[in-house]
Formats: sequence, C-alpha cells, structure tokens
Amino acid sequence: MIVLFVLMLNSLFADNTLDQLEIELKNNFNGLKKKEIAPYFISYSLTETNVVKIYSSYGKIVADQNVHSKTLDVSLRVGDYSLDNTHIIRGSSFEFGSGNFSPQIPLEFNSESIKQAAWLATDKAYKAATERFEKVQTNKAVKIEEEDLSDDFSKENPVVDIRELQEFPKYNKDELINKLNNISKEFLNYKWIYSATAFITVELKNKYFISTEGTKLRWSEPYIRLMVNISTKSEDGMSLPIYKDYFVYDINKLPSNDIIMEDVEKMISTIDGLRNAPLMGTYSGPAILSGEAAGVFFHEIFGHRVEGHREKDPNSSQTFKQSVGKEVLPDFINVVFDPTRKERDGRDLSGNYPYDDEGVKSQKVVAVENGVFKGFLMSRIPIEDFPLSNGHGRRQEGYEPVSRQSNLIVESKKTISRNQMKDKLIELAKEQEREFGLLFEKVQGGFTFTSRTIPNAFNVLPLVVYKIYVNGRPDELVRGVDLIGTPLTTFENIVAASDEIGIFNGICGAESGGVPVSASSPSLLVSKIEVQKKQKSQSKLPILEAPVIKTNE
Amino acid sequence: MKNLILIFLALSIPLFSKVNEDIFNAMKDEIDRSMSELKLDKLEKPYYVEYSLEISNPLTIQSNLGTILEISKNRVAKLTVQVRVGDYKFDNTNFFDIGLGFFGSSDDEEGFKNRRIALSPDYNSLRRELWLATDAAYKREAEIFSKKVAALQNKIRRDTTYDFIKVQPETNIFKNEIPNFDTTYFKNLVNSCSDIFKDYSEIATSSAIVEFTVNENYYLNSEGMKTYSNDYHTNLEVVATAQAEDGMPLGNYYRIMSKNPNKLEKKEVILKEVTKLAELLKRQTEITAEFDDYSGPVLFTDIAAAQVFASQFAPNLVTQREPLSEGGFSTGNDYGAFQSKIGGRVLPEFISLKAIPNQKEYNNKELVGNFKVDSEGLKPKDFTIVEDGFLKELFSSRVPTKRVKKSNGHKREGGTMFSNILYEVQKDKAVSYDSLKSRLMELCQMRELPYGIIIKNIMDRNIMYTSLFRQNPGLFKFSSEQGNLMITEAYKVYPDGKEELIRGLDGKAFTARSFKDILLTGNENKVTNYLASAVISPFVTGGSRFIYCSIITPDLLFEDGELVAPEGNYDKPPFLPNPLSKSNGK
Repeated sequence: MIVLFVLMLNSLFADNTLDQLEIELKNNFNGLKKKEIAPYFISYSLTETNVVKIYSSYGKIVADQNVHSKTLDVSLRVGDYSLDNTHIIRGSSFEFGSGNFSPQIPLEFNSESIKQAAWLATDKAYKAATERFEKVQTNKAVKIEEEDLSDDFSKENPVVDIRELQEFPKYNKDELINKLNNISKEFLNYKWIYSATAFITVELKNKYFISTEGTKLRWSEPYIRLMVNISTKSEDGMSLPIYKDYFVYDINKLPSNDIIMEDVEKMISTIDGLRNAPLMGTYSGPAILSGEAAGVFFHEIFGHRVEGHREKDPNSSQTFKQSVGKEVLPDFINVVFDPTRKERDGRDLSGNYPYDDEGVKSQKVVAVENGVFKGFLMSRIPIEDFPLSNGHGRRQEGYEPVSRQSNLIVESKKTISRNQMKDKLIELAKEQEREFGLLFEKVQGGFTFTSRTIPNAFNVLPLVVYKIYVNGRPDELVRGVDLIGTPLTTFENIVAASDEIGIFNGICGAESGGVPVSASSPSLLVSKIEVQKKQKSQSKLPILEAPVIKTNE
Repeated sequence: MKNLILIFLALSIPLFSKVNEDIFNAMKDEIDRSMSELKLDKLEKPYYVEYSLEISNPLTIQSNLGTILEISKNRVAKLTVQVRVGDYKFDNTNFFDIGLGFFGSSDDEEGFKNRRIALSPDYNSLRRELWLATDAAYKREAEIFSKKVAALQNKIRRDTTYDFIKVQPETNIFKNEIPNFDTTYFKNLVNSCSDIFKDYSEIATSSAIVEFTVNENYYLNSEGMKTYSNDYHTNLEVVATAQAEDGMPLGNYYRIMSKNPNKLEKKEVILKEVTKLAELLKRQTEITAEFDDYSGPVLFTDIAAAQVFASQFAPNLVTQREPLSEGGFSTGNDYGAFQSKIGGRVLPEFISLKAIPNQKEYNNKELVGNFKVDSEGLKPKDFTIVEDGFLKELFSSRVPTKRVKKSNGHKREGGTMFSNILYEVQKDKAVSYDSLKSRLMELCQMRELPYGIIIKNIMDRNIMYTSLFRQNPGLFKFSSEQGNLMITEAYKVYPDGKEELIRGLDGKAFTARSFKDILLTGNENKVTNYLASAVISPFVTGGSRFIYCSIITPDLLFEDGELVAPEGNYDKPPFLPNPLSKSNGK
C-alpha cells in the first residue's frame, strides 16, 4: 500500500512548473532575439512520465519496474512562418543533424534545474536551427521551385487551459501481481507453449506546454494496458504467437480474472489449432477482414497516407494529394480520426488526448465521407489547401512532432450480419472460381512504405486466418500467410461491411516516435486481396520434451 | 509525506535471506537430462553444460542542483547457458562465426545468453527456461562446432592448444551479509553534492548519483562445480561540464566506491571534494592561455597514476586468445602487447605487481575488485604478475593460450579480466611528492624545458560513456585511438616549484611500452576503485561492459610523454549567460 502513496506524491506538491517555464521561455526568447538570426518561435514541452510495468511468466514475476521522470523538449524555429529551419532539404538522402537534447528535470520542483535545463536545451536547439536554416536557404536556391508552396509553420490561435493533473491510478500491487501470476501460471500446463507472459503497463503522463505565441497548457494522459502473449512453434519451425490485450483508462475497469481466463482458454485452443494447421500458399481472391483486422488494415494502408506532412515531401508517394473531393472508397464508408473520443461500443480507445504535442486542441477529422476524400491529418506543418492544424501533431518525448493518427474510426452506413457476410464471401469465391475465401480473424500489426523509392505497398501480419470453403466444408484454420497489396486497388475492392465492431489499441511507431493509437472498424468484405508466404524460422522444435512438472506431493 | 518514499525504497532491497536450493535442483536435473539425452541426428552430444544465473538488484538515486532527478530500481534475473560440443582438446569455442557473430541468427531462436527469467524462480519455472535455453545453445554450438571442423578441414593446424582446461570440481557457497543501505542518508548526500553547483554559474551541467547494487550468482556445471556467491557495491559519482570562453569543452568528475555503503568517505570529505571539483572547473574556464604541445617528463599523481595504468597497461595483463575464423577474418586484439611477453621485462626492475583478488581492504579502504569466486566457479588466486620488472603471469580463465595453460580464477562477467592490482616498489625508488617534483624539474632542466607537467586526473572511460556524453551531448568529441588520454586536471610546474593549472591537453601515444620508462614512484600507495572496461569485448562474450576493479598505485614519474592540444573545432559557448548567474553566481 505504501507504493500507492509514493506514486501520488508528486501531484500533491505545489506545481509552479508552468510559471517557471514561462519565465525561462521569455528570458531565452528575448535574449536570442538580439541575435542576427533570431528565433521567431520557441515552445517548451515538459512531460512527467510515471510508468509501472510488471511482467509475469509461468506464474513468476520476471520484471517489476517503475520509472518516474520528467523530460524537457524544446522546439525552436528561426526564419519566419513561411520559410524556416524545418523546411525540407531536397536531394539529401541522409541528414546528419546534431540530434535533439531533451534534458531530465528533477521530480520535485526546482527552479534552478528548470532554468539551467531550459537555457542549455534552448541554446542547443538554437544552434541546430541556425545551422539547418543556412542549409535550407541554399537548398531552396539551388533546386527547382517546389510543387507545394505552403508555409513551413501554421499560425494558430493561442490557447490557455490549465487542467487539474490526474492522480496516478490507485491499485493494490499484491493483487495485481497475483492476477498476472495466476494468468501466466496456467501456461505451465502446456508443454508446447514456449513463451508465455502476462504483463501490465500502468502509465500516467502529465504534460506541460508553453510557447512564445501565448499558448499555456497542462493536462494528463493515462494509459493502462494488460496484455497476455503466448507463442509456440509448428513442426516446420514457424513461430506462432498470439495475444490478447485489454486497454482501459480506469484501472478498475480491467476485466476480472474469470473473463481473462476464458479468453486465455480460447487463445490456447486457437494456438493449439494453429500449430497443427496446414500451411497456406499464395492466394488471390475474396476475403473477410474482422473488425480488428480491418482496423489495422486501414491504419496501415490509409492512415499513414493521410498524415499531412508527407504530402510536402517530394519523396513521399503522396497517394491522396489529388484526391480531395474524389471518391476513394465505396460510398457507404466514412473514415474519421477522432482524438476527442474515449470509447466506441463501450470499449476504451487509446488514441484519446485533449491537446496534441504542439499545443493544438485535438479535433475530430473526417477524412472520408460517403467514400469521398475530404482531407488530411494535420500538425502545424501546412500543406497546399490545408493551412491549419487539426490537432494531430504528435510525438514521443525526444522527437519533433509531425502529423500522426489518433483514433481511426471506420463507419459504414450499410451493414450486414457476419453470417450474411460469410454467405457473400462464398458467392464471390464461387464467381472467381475459388475453392474457398479467407477470413482474417486476428492480426499482429503491419507496416507500410510511403516513399516513392520503393514500391508503395502494405503488409498486414495476420495471426489467425480461416479458409471458408464454398462447398460447405467446415471452416479451416490455416497459417503462414501475410496480407499484402497496394492501397488504391485494395480500397476499390471493399464491397460490404458488417454490423459488429472490432477494436485494435496499440502503439504506432514512426518518425516522431511511438504514440498510442486505436483503429476500429466493422468487419469488411473485400472482393480481392492477395496473400504471400510469411517469413519463417528454420529452427527445429526443442529436441527434448518439456520437463515434467514437479508437484509438492 | 517524503518519508514515505524512503520507507518504500528501504524496503525495496531484498536481503537474500537464504540460498534457494530449488534453483540448484532445477539446474542439476536439467544438466543431467541434457548430458544424457540432448543429441541431434548425427551431431555430437554436448560434453559440457554450464548454467549461470545472476540476479542483480540495483538502486540508483540521481540528483541535480539539490533535488532528486530520478530514483530507479530495476531488479533483473539473467540466465546464461554454455554448451560445449567436441572435447576439451577441440570444441566449438575459440572460433568466430562471422555470420552469427556479427548479425545473429535470422531465425526465431530462444535466447541462451542473458535470458531474462523470473526474479524468484521456482523449480518448475526454472526448468522450463533451462530446457529451452539449453536446447537453443546446443543447436547453435553444435552448428558452430561443425563450421569450425569445416574451416580447418583443408588447413594444416599449427596451434593445437586445448580449447578448454579441465579442473577439479568444487562446491563453494559464499554468502555475505548484505549491509543496510540508508536511503534517507544517500538521498540527502546526493542532494547536498549536487546543490554545491548552484553557486557556480560557470558550470553548465552537473549531477550527483549514487548506486547500490546487490548481486547473487548461482552456478552449476556438468563437471560438478557448484557455487553460490553474493556481493554488493556502492558507487557515488559527481559529474559536471562547462565550456571555456574559447569554446573548449571541460568535463570532470569525482567518484568514490566501496562495497559497503557505510564505508564510503564521510559526508564532509565528500562535499569538500565536490566543492574542489566545482572550483577546479570554474578556474579552468578562466584560463585563457592555449596549451603548447609538450614532449618531456610527466608526473602522474593521485588518481591519474591509477588511470594511466588502468587504461594503458592493465588491459594487457589479461590472457587473450585470437579465435579461429573463416576467410582470414581477425577479431582483432586491442591489448595483446604481453601475450608472448612472459619472462620478458615490461616495467623498470624496481617495480613489481601483485594480483590480490582475495584482499578485501588496503589501508582501511575497501577494494571493489575483491571477489570470492569467478564466473567459472573457481576461487581466484593471488599471484605475482610482474617481479622486479619481469612479467611472470597473466590473468587467466579456463581458456588456455599458447603460453598460459592454467586458470588463476579470473573469468569475470563474461570474459577473462583483471581484478585488484597492487604496486610494490623498491624503497630507494619510492620517494616523496616533493622529491618527485624536484626530479621532474631536473629532467626538464636537462632537456632545456621551461616547465614540467604534473597530471592529477584523467577522464575515466566508464564515466565518459555513461555520464559525460549523456549529460552534455555533442560537446565532447570521442577519440577511439589507443594511447590517447583525455586529461582533466594538469599543472605546469616551474623551476621555482610553482604549479599553474592548465587546460586543453591530451595525452598522446602512452602505451604499455611507455611504462618501462618510469623513473621514480611516490612512496605512498593509493587505492583507486573504478569500473574497468571489459578487455574482451562483451559483444563476443555476452558479458558486462564494465567490471569492478581496484588499482593500488603510487605516483608515477615518466621519463618521457607527449602531450598535445586537442585538434578540431569547438562548439561556440552558449549565447546567453547561464541563468544561475543571476540568482546565485559567485
């Protein structure tokens, strides 16, 4: 119980952080203004991260970590809103920058520490900015005129919103450890399960943001996730992982152990089926993507391509640059990104936040309405026809913010039941003279390439796939395939959506680090998809049987 | 409310009340099974299996300008399995597989080196981990054995040194009482240390950190060697950086170590030393004169004597065996100067060196390099390394080399490594500081030099990598050239005896060979406890990068040394004055 108090302590201290940051911001901004190349914008983001991570494996705790720290990030711009040091330098395949300096600040308030850290970090940011601005100006002079002539930084109205900071979630640590141990202990009974962990992350980020434009913010972002991971191998060496995760904002809303153990039983049964499932070859034909799979599918093939800043990069594929006002999806589909939303269908969505990491209020963005493309996710990096941010400038501490996804929500105005969808799948398979269609039930994640220098493809990594036979044979669990394709063709092939919603909560990694996101969608029927063989380990199963469990008797 | 933090932390150090026999039972049962049943098709069975489980429990408290920056604890249990295929004469080891060595396996294989396992494993959970790790280790090592055989198939093998030395198995249980770590005291101590820098506007960054680490090690091998040992270390470091007006980066540190946290220096002494550090950095920022390259006699005193020995000489005292590899590839051997020097002179004839791993204290100072049992379960031996200038024995493990065929119990955290080294100097060559200084000036006069150089501190590699570079990134340039020393405190000494603080000089070309030119030493041995860089790369061994060692050395006067001003450009100093100057600056 002592732990609980410790974790709460910091929020009880008088919080002068923002005021001190404001003083330092003014001092440093005014001081550097006297320089020949003066900054026109500086912001300070201070993030207090308090995170507890507990891992359990086979009924025993493997790691029990608590990291509590405060980090200061400085963004500094020289030049002006139209052209500044952040402008893209064209023709350079690698930029050797001086890197970001994000100093740590003491946990308790210490004005001297804040002063010194802000001073040194601002100085380093200023030097890096002036160096780069010199390169930007030369690059602009020696290269052809850019296609996108929009400014480098959007002008936003300043916001002041100082919220009460949340307390670190209260929990009984012993109970939590018991919960995890009870879950992971179950896997000792299965000789063929080669790794099994149950782990929880309980995190609270308290964020402070202040800028020379007058924005002054303070808010909290909690994140609680319990995850069960197990994996085995098939005879042919293929690794077969499976996971189940539970994301909540309120620790008391974590499911009971009974519910989790029910899920665990299903996981064991699925993975047992998988290790004996036949290996599937390449395939092209119709498929159903479960809601969760469809969410990841949209995150990869659509979401990353509507992150606005990519449209400015001449090396980016700019898939949707010319698509505003044009149909890109079937007319019954809407796609929105809504960081203001905390839940869907009673389940928490992990991409919720009140302000982005550039101090802009989070906003719902309708990216596709009735199949027609409406617009991009915007940070404060403007692009042609999108001069303002819509609150999607996000980053992990230590990185510069760029436009990133939040809660991706796929909606369908026309829905059918899962059974009807299965019938339709069989119909399509028959039309295409296929023996079966595919059902992608669960996916691990995916990745995509958005550059022009390599094929503009995506790869979604399925964990659980079934063949749905046209001749009425029972559904058959298969393994060994990845879902691949190119975005525009795949979109054209979406033919129906179901009436039940699947949700994927996770951390998305990109150039501004890892940020929490969600992707939720109804199940989708796609008339044609393509799968390729999955990369496979060549290592054999263990030579000896698992050791016999010793009991006290 | 603050007391609650302290209670929590004090409770967080487990006292390891008893040796967990479940661990040994699980290890024994899985070793027996692996030795009798583990075999793949036509491949050889293992002839040796070894399990090492290390449970470490570090607690770190870091402070900046008088307040706590971070308190962290990260208890970790790591299992390492070693499997040998073949026999003692010729096995899978001492061979570097380029593909696996550099890039690892592209297959999804179980880990068997530093495998993270349960913090308090029971019989069943540990058996499970041992089973999977042993399986993976056997498959890997059996494959490497075949590759080694293949690589030698069409070669005439000239070096037939055994791959592994056979030893008599022992059972050693060494259980230390873990001393109490007073979190309240150390929290206050680091806060007091870091608070000193509030008064120094010349200093750009600073931090004080204390770390108390408790380790437990369970070891069992198929020969019957069984050991348990636990140990603990305390490390206090204060690091600060500054920049001179001409942009020259300045960094320095104060560090003390002991095993027992209650045996560190007294608080008053520590605070005095930290103030000296801050004053020194301040004075260095005020120096305007640039250093002219110098070639002449150099006197290393205090910690600098230990540092120059530790970085340039001591690593050569470790046996190293260049592994076989395919295609003429060499893994390199950075500190191989003495591998074939046994019997030869490596120091002046008035100096002897002793390895004293079993010695716990010297002049009432704890030696952190003291240990009870090495990573192969062997008790370390005290021995003479150098006798009257002539090399007698190197630090060795169970991996023999052409010249060294026995272990003296020095496999430490992954590879062969030194521990405690003691200087013994003939009386007539061990003189007072004043006599050393006079001799230095005589030498300068003979060479018509206007001044001599005394070096009192050199940047420590562990501090450089783990603190300095992180504290003020980009400010310091890294030099990987062997023989280079980043000197942090040095003085010009004039004929009248006056010492003038200087900055901006690097030691150049100080090698193991330079130590033959020591002319005199001081008459007082001082203990330097530090974290030495592992001599055999942890990339190869999978072990630790830094290992606790102690050097007991007098001041050292070298006949000749080369000192140069650092090359390259400096970053401009910060454009705005340090904000601390407004409120507190002196």
